[in-house]
Amino acid sequence: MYKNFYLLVSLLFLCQFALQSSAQDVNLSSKKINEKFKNFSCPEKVYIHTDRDFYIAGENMFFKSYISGFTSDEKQIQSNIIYLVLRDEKSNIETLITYLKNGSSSGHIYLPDTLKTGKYELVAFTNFMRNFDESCYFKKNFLIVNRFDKTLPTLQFNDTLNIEQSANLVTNKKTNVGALEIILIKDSFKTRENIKIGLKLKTEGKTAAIANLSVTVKEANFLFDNNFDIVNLLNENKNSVIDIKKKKTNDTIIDFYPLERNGIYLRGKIKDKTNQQIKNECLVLSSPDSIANFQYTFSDAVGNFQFLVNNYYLGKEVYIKPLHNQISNPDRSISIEDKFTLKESLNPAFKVLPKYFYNYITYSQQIVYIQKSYPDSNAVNNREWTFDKIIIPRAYFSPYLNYNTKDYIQLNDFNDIVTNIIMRTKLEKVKNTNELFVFDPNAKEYRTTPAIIFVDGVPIDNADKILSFSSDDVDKIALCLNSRILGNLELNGLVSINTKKNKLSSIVFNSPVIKYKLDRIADNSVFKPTNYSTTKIPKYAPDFRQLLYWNPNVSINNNETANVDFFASDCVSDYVVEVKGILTDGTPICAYAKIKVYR
Amino acid sequence: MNMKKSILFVLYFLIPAIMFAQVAITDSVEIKNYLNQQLTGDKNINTGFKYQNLYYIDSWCMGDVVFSTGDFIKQIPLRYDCLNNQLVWLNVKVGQVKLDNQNISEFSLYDAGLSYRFRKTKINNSDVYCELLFENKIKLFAQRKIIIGSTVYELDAIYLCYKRIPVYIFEIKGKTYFCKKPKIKSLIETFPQAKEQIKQLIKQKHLKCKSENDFIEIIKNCEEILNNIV
Repeated sequence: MYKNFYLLVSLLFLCQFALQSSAQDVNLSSKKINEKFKNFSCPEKVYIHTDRDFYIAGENMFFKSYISGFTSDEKQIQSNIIYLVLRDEKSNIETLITYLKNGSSSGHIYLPDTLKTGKYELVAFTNFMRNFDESCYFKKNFLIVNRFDKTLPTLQFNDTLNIEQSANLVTNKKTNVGALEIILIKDSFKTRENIKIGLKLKTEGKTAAIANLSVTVKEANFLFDNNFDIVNLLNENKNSVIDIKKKKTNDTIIDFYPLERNGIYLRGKIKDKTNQQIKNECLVLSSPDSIANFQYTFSDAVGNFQFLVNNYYLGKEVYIKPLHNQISNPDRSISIEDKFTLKESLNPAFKVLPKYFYNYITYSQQIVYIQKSYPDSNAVNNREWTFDKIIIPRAYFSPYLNYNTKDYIQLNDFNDIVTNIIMRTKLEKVKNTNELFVFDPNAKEYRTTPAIIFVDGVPIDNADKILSFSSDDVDKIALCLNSRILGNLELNGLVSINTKKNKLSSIVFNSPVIKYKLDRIADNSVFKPTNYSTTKIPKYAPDFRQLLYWNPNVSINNNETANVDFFASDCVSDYVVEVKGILTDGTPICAYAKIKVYR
Repeated sequence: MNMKKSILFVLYFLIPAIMFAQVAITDSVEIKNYLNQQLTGDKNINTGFKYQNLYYIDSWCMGDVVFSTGDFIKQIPLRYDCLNNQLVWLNVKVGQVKLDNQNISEFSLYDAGLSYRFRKTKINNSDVYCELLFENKIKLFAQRKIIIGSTVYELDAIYLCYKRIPVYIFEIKGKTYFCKKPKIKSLIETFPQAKEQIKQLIKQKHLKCKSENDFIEIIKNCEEILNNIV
């Protein structure tokens, strides 16, 4: 009996093992990945720690982003780019890209003075998370109130939750979660007193652990406490199912959003007037600059294309267009996918606010109004993101010849420039368009394919667009006679023209061109707390900061204590100390404490 | 006996369960294709001259290229032109391509089971590919310098004959030292303050310096001495 039972179990095991092996043997081409991820939850999680949950328009929202990666091929991997969307119920207010270093990044979002009072949401996700449905995205609700909105007609207040009940929610959060401990010598401080807080990390079995933390000390408003903890969120395992409605054919660019570690993927589509997709079209991405630059890609069988955008283009306006102007097919159009479009609409966590909060809002409006009147109120130190290693995608490095038009007599048009200045080039009419041909020093004759012309760094259609350029318009001309090889692309000669008066903006392209501004990168800004020991601030100058401290970059080694110190403001109230972060192995940790400021 | 069976029973279910947990994640979450960093350069122009021993290894050999961003391209046919400090790539479609040195930080060549690693090094304010011979606390490079030795005129072509004059470069604590020959005498000339220590060590370990490999071996042994005197 037992023998048969174990035989059956063995057979079951073998069957499962065989199935398992066949599953792993599948060649994981990008096309198969959608199927592979089907029915699995998103392994990547994002968490955003913000300095507060309630803002008055005109204030800064400071944030620190964390990511928990996953194991693949025995390596811990994660995205290095997070997309942030701040939206109201109707549209996106701000879209940002934040670059992670060692699994985290920090910055701030300025909330414009003109924002209307209402419910807002901060959504954060990675490109890889877009393979799954939006339930795996990080979403956090905020209340933002306009400073001049006195009647607050868009908000509803009710007596259902009193201040004591709300306060209990915060008091209950005092317990330290995980291995982090907040050490307070005392919990009551006088206004403008120096407050010192110790943070101790004690993890068992992880002796080499280092905690990467963000610390906020904010006025307790007892409004939102929706168990929105880093520990809950980064550890949760929602069953999000991949959206596989997308069409899959053998020759299409993958319906898969890859992990972004070295740069941003930008997708688009090229089609003609009759909505027919254009395949194998060479498309270039270029930005106006004094250096001729571009990246290229080819469209697939259904007209989709994808660029891995060089970091050099971030924050710049780029031109995306076909490399060659096809006169036979002029009515083409290019569209670019907007990564920040969200399918799910904002679902506010709070519909009705407790009545006591009305007073808190009006009190906060007044505080911000006073703080805005003093120069130190915008406590932000901006630090621009700099990338350590950027290779500018230059079209060429060393030109064969360089010409500076100021060294020559004035010439009325580009034909004169070609005849009198640029040696080894000729203008010729080909199928009703003017093309520029360069001399091939190797074959010792003019090339039969036209040269690529760059104006202010961007490739243009043909020489028609530059015929009207006089020597007063042109600053410099660089000429490359040799064939330039860029990966698998061969360019038969290049002519790069730098104009004096940004002539590129006046060029009307025949080929479809899309100008696209690559979203700005969240700057690495830091909060600048008021320091009474170094700055002389008179007693009559008001300091009603509701945010006492925000530091997104606190690091502690295991069994060590880190100290943070700051000054209390004139705002007499209860404050919450909130510390969140991750350990080197990705384990989320957090701790809370409450302090009081009295007069 | 029952205990053993129970453990086996548990194992039967645990092993597949653990394996199945890994299926969801794959190594294909990133796309590595033409979207990544590319090799760029000029199509090689034949000047009409014929060369002898112009390249570090005369035949095409497979190699890897590392870009200054850290990206790399593996197993492509390469050749290093020592005279012009130029890495040449054999593109199957367009032929020989003189690669832009500006983007490349390092390359390796594989020939006859041996690998040769070249790294871009600053020499007299210009970037030169030097072969990395030894790397630890100190680095030893060899600039595979060649000069035109003679010109031979024949009926159908002009042959330029080259002479190889490698220069050895030490990089110690951020400083650069040049050694003209792979000889003990040259080494002592480069580091006169370590003359006695080097001589003593060579005597102690019975080291000989007849080839470049012997020279590298001596440098490996002298590493501590050289690191301390700088």
